[in-house]
Amino acid sequence: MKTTNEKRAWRFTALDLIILVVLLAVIAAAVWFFGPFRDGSSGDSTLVNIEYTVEVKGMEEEYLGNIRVGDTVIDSVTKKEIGTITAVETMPLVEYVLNTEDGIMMEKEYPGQSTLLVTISSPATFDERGYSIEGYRVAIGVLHYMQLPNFVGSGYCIGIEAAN
Amino acid sequence: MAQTDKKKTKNAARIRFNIIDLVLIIAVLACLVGVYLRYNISEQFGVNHEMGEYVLSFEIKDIRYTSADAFPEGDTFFLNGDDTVLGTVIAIDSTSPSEVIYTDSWGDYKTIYYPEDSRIDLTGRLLSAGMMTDRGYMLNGNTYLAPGQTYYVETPHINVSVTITGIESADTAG
Repeated sequence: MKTTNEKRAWRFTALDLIILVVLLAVIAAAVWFFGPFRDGSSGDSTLVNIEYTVEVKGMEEEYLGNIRVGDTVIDSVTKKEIGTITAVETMPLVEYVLNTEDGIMMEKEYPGQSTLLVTISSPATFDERGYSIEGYRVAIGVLHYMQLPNFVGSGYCIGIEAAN
Repeated sequence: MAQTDKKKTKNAARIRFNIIDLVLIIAVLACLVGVYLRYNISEQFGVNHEMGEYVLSFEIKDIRYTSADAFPEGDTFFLNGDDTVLGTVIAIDSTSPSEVIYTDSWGDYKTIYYPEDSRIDLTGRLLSAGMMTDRGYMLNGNTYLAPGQTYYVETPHINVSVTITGIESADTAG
């Protein structure tokens, strides 16, 4: 008479092999689609120092001194360091408003608010996809959520230059 | 007794078909059917046609005037942030102050333009790889694309929305 252990002995069958193959294929596909192989980089990249300018609109006057040259900039979303501020240019906040009565575009200055052009410097890599700081993309039109020692805010990148 | 034991051994050795086996078989069949359908759909869209070079005309509206320099010749437009290549820049054909269409107090549509050095519209051309089929242009042989469609693209220098305005063969394009 067979013992309980002998009755429950596991045998590797063809169905188990199919399950194993399917599982491995799913894992491989997940690693391929979501893993480090899909960062879009061809592998040919060069190291450069870049200076990019972020336009911060609508700064209240009382906070103008909170963005300072020398401040380290952290991306609020990824918490990565994305450079050091090398210049800050302040100008009145001006928007274009359509005057439908006269049919003209008018420049309107907002009282008490300013636009800051913040220049940030950082080492970066450049490849066929553009500039990136350790995987953090820097390009014109990218919205940057910045965290500074005395300021949190956001602005669009409006220019990039690579320093030789 | 010996015969009963033999029967029991024989029964124990048989593969028992259960619900999990059924699910597996259905999944495998579904994969095979999917591959078949995919091949047939590809035929309908003419994947078996030859790939060629096409010139895509595009326009970009309402960007900062300083961004006009962000489209050097040879830059690649990547579609929707992934690795799909829309094309490479052949030329920027025109830049002009952005136009705004509004309704006046009489209900008439009027056009007005932003001042110089403020906001601009831009047109240009890309060199693209694809094929023209009975159903239209297939970018890279697998993505339908037609004039009027707007795409969010990433280039090495800028993120921007681009509207396709024309598609013609590179052989016939100027």
